[in-house]
Amino acid sequence: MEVKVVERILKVNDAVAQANRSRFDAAGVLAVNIIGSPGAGKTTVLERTVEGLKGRFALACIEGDPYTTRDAERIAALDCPVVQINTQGGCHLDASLVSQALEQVDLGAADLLLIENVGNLLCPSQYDLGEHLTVVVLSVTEGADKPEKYPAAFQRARAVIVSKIDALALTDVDLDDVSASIRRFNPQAEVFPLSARTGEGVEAWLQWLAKQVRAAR
Amino acid sequence: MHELGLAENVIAAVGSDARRRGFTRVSRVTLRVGEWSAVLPDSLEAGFHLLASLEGDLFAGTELRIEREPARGICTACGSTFPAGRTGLVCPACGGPGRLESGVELEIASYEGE
Ligand SMILES: [Zn+2]
Repeated sequence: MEVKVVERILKVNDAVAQANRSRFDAAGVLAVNIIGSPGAGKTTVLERTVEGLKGRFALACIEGDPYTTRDAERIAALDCPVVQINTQGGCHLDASLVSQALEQVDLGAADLLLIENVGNLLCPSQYDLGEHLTVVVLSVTEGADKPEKYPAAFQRARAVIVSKIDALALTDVDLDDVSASIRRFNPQAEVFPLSARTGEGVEAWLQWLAKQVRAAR
Repeated sequence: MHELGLAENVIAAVGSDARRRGFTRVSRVTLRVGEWSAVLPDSLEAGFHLLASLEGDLFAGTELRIEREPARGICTACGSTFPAGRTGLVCPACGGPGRLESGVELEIASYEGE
């Protein structure tokens, strides 16, 4: 006998994600899932974001990392509440890991929750954490063909940060090519070229994000 | 790398549904996996057979069928649909912005049991 099922393989994850999202909504917190390859510059972008917005909004961070607490220590040094999730080698965060971490986050006191996913463009693209928007960090040193190779991640992104533009001269990459390649796979994505090191382009990203936070309150 | 976890979810979902119906054997499971779903079908299949072999009689010799769903876009300007696999979501007819219509599915479509 054939049984029609048609349900998402990640149904359980999706249900937990929905519960997370309800908690964010009830608290008026905008939750952002930051994904990107290892070394794309996610933590440095996060540092600049925390520095740039902490006077205007109450922030909190969740740091996903396979083993270490290095990234969490960098955020804590900025006086931002941060919860570390170690995935013990796991290649992505899932909704239940975030749900557990939320036990240590004072959502009532936050406007913006930044969740740094594990460095990987494949698996994190499949797992809804309950976030309101996904941001992909892509560094110029990774080349312009990343969106073509990892369409699921870029497809999901509301915004793509093209990081390390201070290193452009060292690569064969053209910024217009990168933007065109992102928009080919996600025509609606906002693209923010920036350098977390020199600060170039950071303000445009902060202004856009601040607008999203205000809209979520 | 997350394919084993996905296979685990498939076995758990199909297993509990089959047991609830009083089935003693699941002969085939059909999944729908989008072209852009970030899943390697071979790894998913290997994981499925590994876990099925640990489940005992219910999943003895179960066939896994994976239907690949191509990435397809639909143009928000002119409404035409087009394959997005290589060229992306920019409409080949008018150059307008497309949105993804299919290609990220990760679903249990059906199974056969008795
Ligand atoms: Zn069109």
